[in-house]
Amino acid sequence: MFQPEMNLNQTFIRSLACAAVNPGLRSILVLDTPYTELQSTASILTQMLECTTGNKVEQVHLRVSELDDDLWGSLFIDHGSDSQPIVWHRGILANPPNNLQNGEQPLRLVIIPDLAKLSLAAARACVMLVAADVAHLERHGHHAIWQPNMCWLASCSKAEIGAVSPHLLDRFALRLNWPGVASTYSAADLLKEVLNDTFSEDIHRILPPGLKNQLQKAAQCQTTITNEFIGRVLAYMSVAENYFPRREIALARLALSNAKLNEAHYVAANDVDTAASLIGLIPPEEVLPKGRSIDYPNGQEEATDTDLQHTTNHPANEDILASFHEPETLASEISVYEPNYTDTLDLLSLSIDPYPEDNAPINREIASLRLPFFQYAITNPDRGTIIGVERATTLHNIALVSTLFAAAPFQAIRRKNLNIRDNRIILSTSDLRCYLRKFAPHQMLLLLIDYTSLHGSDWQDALSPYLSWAYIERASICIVQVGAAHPTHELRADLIQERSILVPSITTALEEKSGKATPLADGFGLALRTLRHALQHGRHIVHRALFVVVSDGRGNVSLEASHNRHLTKPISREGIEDALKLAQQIGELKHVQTVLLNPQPKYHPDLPLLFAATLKAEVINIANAQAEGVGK
Amino acid sequence: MSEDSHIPILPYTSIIGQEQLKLALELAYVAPRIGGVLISGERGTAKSTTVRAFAKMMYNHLPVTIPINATEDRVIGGWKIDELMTGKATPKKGLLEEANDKLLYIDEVNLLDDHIVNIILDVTSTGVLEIQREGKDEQKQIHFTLVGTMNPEEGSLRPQLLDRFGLMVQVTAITDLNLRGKIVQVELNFSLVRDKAMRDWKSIPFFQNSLQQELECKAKIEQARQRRHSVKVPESIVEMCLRLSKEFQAEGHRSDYLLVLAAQAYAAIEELHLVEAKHLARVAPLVLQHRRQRITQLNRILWNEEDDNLLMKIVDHVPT
Repeated sequence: MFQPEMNLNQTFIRSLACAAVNPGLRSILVLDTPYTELQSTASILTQMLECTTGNKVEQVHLRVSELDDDLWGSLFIDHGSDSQPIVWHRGILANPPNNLQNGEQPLRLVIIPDLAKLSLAAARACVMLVAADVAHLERHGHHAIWQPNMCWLASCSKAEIGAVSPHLLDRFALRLNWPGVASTYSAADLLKEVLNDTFSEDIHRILPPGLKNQLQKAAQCQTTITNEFIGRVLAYMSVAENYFPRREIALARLALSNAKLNEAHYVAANDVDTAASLIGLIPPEEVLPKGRSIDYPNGQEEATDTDLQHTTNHPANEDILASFHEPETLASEISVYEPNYTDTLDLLSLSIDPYPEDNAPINREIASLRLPFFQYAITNPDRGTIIGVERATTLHNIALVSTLFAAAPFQAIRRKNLNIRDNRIILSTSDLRCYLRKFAPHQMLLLLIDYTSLHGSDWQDALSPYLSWAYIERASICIVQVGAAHPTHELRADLIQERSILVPSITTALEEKSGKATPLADGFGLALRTLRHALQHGRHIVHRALFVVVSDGRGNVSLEASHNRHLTKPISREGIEDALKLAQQIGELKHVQTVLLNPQPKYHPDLPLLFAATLKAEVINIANAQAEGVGK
Repeated sequence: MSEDSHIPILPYTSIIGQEQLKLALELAYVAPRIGGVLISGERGTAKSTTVRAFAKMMYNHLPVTIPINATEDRVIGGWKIDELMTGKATPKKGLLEEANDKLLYIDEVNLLDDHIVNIILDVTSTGVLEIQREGKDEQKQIHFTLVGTMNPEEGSLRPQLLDRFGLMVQVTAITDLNLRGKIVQVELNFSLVRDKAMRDWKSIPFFQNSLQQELECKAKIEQARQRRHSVKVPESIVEMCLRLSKEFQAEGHRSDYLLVLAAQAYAAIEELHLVEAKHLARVAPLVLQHRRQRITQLNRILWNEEDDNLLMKIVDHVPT
């Protein structure tokens, strides 16, 4: 079977090797990775870790549906035991037994295919465990404290990074961009494999012996940090747009690991530059305005060798800041190894932002890691995805298995006290457990906003009662944007769908400016499909939808032009006619209450009223509306 | 030997900067009636590290910790499950009882389950742990120093829980280049210890100095705790405390005695016998910033220059 080439001159491979060498870098986030490639990466990383640690590595996969009991552990039935049928079943992230020869825990590689789609329980578990010094388990009578020995490999699409909490993202020390191509083998090689019947989608890449040897040497290498190295690390982070301490330390660790891979005895400034290029950080000289230099502080101390071969001996609170000498000065006392691999390193990560979350639009609720808030009066609590179990006070929404497991430990005592000799299960009200469910909205607010008709009108005030309603009722919210300033395509409408009004993207959408074209027909088409899906499809259908239209009805893009994304005919009344046809279909839907906020245009003032009649909508006139539309 | 003795923890005296945070923990130890410390701050600012290091130094083991996914039986207490299934009812202490007269730590306190928060609120306000579950009916007097860490980006605390914390510290990332360089250096050195799981790490010269300093620091704090009751609080200081609470519009009356307690504890740490205005100036932000009316926790800057000016005006002293 053909094996793609792997060596330390490849940016991605080198970055993984750094993580294998340094435990502080074993929380890796790879952006925009296809699932099969993530598996392949996990395979490579597993072999690298086994090389550097000398121990077997166990893989653990986190998906979208894990609950706390799956992750941490719970009581379970042991079918093989007669004496104690109910036993503690360790969860996939809980502390493993210390079964290595040196009495330590085995290393586990936790693979997260999509960080943006992780379950709430798993995301909270990651906050507790990723890059943690100490872990605690206190569940169902079980108690444990341990030092986690884990490596984390997660993937996330850059487009969805805004859905992940920055509190969680900050824990991922090493940020990589997926190289984008299946390494160095060609389509011809791939075809040969298919013809020879040796092709497998699950490409298990085997580390070449040379690379293994390099990793083992790097793991043993003693490397001393220099003042120049620290100064260069600080320089990179001092010019960064956002400063977070973990990023600085991660860069330092990456540079140190990079030096070890070169079997260097000292780590210097160029190692920092190489490390920065691995993850896509721009050199500080390119960030600073011309004429400005980097301000290095002055100091007197130099690095000396210690038992750790790492640092000086000064206590923490003295001013130990070492001198940030120019490289020539340092070179006279310590020879610094300057490898020339940078000439051949394929620096694919150059200028690719390793921290896209800093500028990504926020696409998550406020306090996204908290357990969801529940309204006091929920009439139908057995909707929504199960996210846990809690004590029950009624027989509604009972979690049968959890109830039985809660009762199990007390059976021996209860049977003794009640003098019951058979194997009946004796339940008490304190055993009752019900499902904790992610709140599924019963109602939906759908807004269709024609931005080109809003000039000079007080439409946001007119809209606010409906937004308040959505907030109070915990309704899901959709916004169909027609004629926005920054559409996906000028001739098409866009749809934003969120679980609640609290998501920041809703506010952004409401503050959008006006564009030029008005694809109103496409907007109504999008609204119709959204309503039909919400009211008729899936397990969590909404019971009622409130459809609020803010438009003067003057659509100037036909449905055909929207679908073709191309205007073929001069603008005529076709845009309006197409929109009316779709509005009629919306008007025939059940469980939809429609309201039209009339901007009271100066020209064609009857048009909004015609739409309202077609939609069977209540008309609310927008106050202080001005007659002229914009961009028509 | 405690069950966590093998887990290497960065020595308290190796932690760079974060002097306000360290002071708050020391004050809460010297004067346990302060009730607790809430540490709110940005990611990666050594909040959890400092709390663990402090507990390790003062109590010789990691703090009793309630993780955010703890179940009720472990918090309040229950029975030993394996013995229960054989018909023997052996009680198992919960975390609240284990933390009696010690430090109870909640990492990511703003992510804690509401139900567990209610239990903690009940115990901290009454001082009594009531266990009425699984056939048990007990009441126990419990007191602990509650310490919580949180990142305010992930949500705020309920006002009732916020009020249980005597002191609040706002932690920000250190931007001073000198200190940042030291942090990198210390972290890289300690990583070597932690990553290689060195069991004899305390014998390494780099940390021997820190551990020696830690012993001295611990002795100083213990002596301060013994000495605190003998530190005199002049009438003028008491009046200043009342005026501070009034001028800063602190809610309730708890801030009055907390200011006195905290200033007294600080004077004891400084090995003085009399509380002075400078002590009050130093501790006032810790006591007052989360107690003021109309302040929300999402307003990250809870204490600003304007507040410092008002403080100076009242205590007639430059805060140190």
